[in-house]
Amino acid sequence: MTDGKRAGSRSRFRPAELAVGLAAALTLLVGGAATGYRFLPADDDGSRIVRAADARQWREGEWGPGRVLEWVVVDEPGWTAPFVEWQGDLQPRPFERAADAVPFVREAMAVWSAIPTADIRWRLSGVESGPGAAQDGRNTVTVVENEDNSFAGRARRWSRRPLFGGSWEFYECDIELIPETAALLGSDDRRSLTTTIHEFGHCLGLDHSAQHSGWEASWNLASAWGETPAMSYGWRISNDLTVDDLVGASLLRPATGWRSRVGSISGRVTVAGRPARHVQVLAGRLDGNRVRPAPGAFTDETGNFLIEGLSPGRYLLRAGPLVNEVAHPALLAAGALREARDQLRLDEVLVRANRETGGVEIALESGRTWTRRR
Amino acid sequence: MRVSRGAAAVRVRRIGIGLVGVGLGLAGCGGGAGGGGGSAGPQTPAPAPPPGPAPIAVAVSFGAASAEVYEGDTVEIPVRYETRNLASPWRLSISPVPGTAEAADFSLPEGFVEIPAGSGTTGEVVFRLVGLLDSDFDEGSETLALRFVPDPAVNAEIGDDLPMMIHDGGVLVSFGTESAEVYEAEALEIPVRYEVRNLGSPARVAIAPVPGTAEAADFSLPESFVEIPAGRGTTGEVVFRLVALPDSNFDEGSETLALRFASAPGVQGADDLPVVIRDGGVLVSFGTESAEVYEGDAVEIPVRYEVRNLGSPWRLSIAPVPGTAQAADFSLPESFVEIPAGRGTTGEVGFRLIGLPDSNFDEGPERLALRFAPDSSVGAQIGDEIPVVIREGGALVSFAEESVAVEEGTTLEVPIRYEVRNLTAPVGLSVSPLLVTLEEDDLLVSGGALEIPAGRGLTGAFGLRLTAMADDLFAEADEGGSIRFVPPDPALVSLHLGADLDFVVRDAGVAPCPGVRLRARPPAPSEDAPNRIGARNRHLFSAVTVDLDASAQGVSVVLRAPYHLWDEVEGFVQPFAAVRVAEWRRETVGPAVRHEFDLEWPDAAWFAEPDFEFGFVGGSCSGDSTAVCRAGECELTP
Repeated sequence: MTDGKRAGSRSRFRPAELAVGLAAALTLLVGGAATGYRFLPADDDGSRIVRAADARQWREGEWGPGRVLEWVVVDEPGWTAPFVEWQGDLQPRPFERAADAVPFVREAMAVWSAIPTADIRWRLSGVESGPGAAQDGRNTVTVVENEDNSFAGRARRWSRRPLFGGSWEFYECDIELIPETAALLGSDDRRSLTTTIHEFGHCLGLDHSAQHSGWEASWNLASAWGETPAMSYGWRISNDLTVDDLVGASLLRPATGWRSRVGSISGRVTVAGRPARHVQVLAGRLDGNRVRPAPGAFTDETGNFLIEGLSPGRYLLRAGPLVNEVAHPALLAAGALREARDQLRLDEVLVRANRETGGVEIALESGRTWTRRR
Repeated sequence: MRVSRGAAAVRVRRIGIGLVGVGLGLAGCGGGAGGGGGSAGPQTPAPAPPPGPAPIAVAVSFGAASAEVYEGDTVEIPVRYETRNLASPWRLSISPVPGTAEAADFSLPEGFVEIPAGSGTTGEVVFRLVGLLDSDFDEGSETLALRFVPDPAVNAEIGDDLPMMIHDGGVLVSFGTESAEVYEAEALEIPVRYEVRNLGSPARVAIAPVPGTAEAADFSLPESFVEIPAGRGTTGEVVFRLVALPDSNFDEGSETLALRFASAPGVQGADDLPVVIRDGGVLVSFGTESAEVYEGDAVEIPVRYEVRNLGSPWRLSIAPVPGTAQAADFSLPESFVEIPAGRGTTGEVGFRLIGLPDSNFDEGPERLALRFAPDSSVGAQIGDEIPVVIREGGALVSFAEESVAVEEGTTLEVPIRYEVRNLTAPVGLSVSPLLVTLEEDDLLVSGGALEIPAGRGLTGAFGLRLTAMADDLFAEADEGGSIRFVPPDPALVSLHLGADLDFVVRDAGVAPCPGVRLRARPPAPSEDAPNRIGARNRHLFSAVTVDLDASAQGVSVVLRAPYHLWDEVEGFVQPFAAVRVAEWRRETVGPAVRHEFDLEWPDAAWFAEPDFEFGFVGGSCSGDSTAVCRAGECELTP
């Protein structure tokens, strides 16, 4: 659905020319911060609230619970490009051959499979030849040229559903990296795996996460809302997953018993009495008397929201509009609210295990005047 | 004295024995047998045969019809003779014929006269009779007669006996008073009367003390005798002195002794003179066991005296004995008391001690002692020294607190305590606030006109009220100042003023809506870490506190500014809230809840409109007011 773009470039993303069921994701290496998690819906209505139970899942036959998903690196010339240019600098030649990338790809996969609350078992068996991003029954990682610098990486998620109704299900995923991204895998850059990790997240079923907190992105400092998730359409400075990634992945592929140990918060956000469409609601968990990062979610077109996978405890909420036309075109198309002010809700919300705490009402104040930087 | 008299009696008896011996001698002489006592007598010739009338060889007679002599005196008695035919000198014995006089009463140094040989010659020879002194002064005159002793060898015509009287001689002395008393340190002249029967030359009559309870150290006799002038039949009076010596014992009671004339020949002393030596001098003591005086005040300290005997007024010095008190702490305007002369009198005098004020009020009481300066010129017993305490005087006024904090919109009462050590008149004073960063309208001070009451040992308190006025600012740093006492007269050292009261006016925040209290730390530049593209931004930091009481339910904070459209990044369709919530803390205090936010936002150097604006909505909050924070301050605007 979307492609990424290069930092500072003027290029526009281009729609993926994929068949129905193809989902694409990209990582914006320069951009705003993002938090929270989002799923791809199992149906065609991308504007409604998506519960984990309604998220698009892998077909039982391909990757059911307890099963291992096999991956291969496809031997493409891009792995051995003589040099690559990245942010104006010439990067060293990444690999002598495609097999040199295998350890780094396995490392990116292991970031997800290490989540203790999730059932993520996948394996990179080796290097194979042939086309990469092809619907061929193989899950592949390959390098492709991207001459217009419109993305850094993308995931092609192949889905199917019964002809007469039913839910979409994944059955294959192909990851494409551009040579510059592939070059990062072999570098000392702390962000070397971020794109690859991000694309594997898409293959799990995670969509671009919510984007929020605005100015939080301006500092490399901790905040009440945590760092930018791997699944954000934003700037990453770490190869580590955040709570949003962990919870999102765990909701899609929960470890045995985990779902019964967490609860959720639901409610409605309005502005001037009307539903606040597709605004973000972020949770902060009270750890003692300090607010710690917790996942967030978007409201749907009725202003309702649901934040799942919350550990039992007390939570405070922040709500406000913040969508990106690159990351969330469907939300914008569905009339996402843009002119409202951020709000910090001072009443705490109690979350119990395996319970949904509902009825949380948030009335946003309309208006959002802004200033331009000098 | 008795011993002496006893010895005299023995001597009389011995004389009596001697007299008996003399009598025997005489008898032997008459009987031809010489006695022991006749050794001086002429040798008696053998008796001649009865003659016929023999011619008279010589006629002798006493040259006077009678004679008298005083004891202790000698009289020459003439013996006239007329020789008729005396061939050879003739020693004519003269013998006494006792009358009342006894042998001890007189003596005849030569017991004869020698008549020169001759014929038809007349002449006169003398012999001496000595009246012997005895110790009996009242015996009266003694009588005897002198008689020529016939000599058979010489036919002589012998005259009649010569009657004689031996008058009492010597001197009789007696004390001119039956008793005497003297005070220690005093001299007493004691008259001695005398009656001279016969004194050929002045005589010294010794006077000796007879100890009683008095000891040698208690008195002295500068002259131990009186001198009786020579004379006969004269009477008179002389004196001698007894000095009672002072001692340091004032309560020993009277001492006794007696004076006695020493026995001596020719002197008859009267009875002893009893003498009482009474305690003399002065007993002085402080009329109080201790004294205290306040600085700036004077105290009269009584001195009691009991004069046993004081001949002239006595100036008794008072000496301070330093303790913790220094010379600058007190004065003794008169450093002595004057004890009036007298005897057996009591009374009380006084002197003043002044506690001198100083500027030190916390030194605590100073101590010294007062004692009488010893004076050896007066036998005095002086009492013990007394302790004196100089207590701090004046009054102390102080704030009950060293520093206070007054929250805006509240009134704090600060007690002002006073402690009156010693004030003779009320003292008025006031307080004056010294505002450092505050405006005059920020603080209202009332109850600052004070009057310290006169008195001693008083304590009390006033209530000073500080009212910090509320305002719309809620991120003010503590603003402070001090309040000091202003005395009516800076030189009034008796008024000790406590330290200034430091105060701060503590920002109480603002109430944007019922049940909500908003406070903030004054926004200040923060130390920024480099952002993700390596630039260091400039930000302001503040900690915002929101207190909610139980009535504030459903309240939310609305971030109203600044928002920023990050135009370097495409795709964002509305501006970011350019406020970073670095920390959000929440705690419950009873029914109240406190939220604390650590916030950062761009400063004016980066943003055209750098103010951070926020409001409160939901619950009791209408959202009408907006809190605006900029560098150094936050304000609630309607």
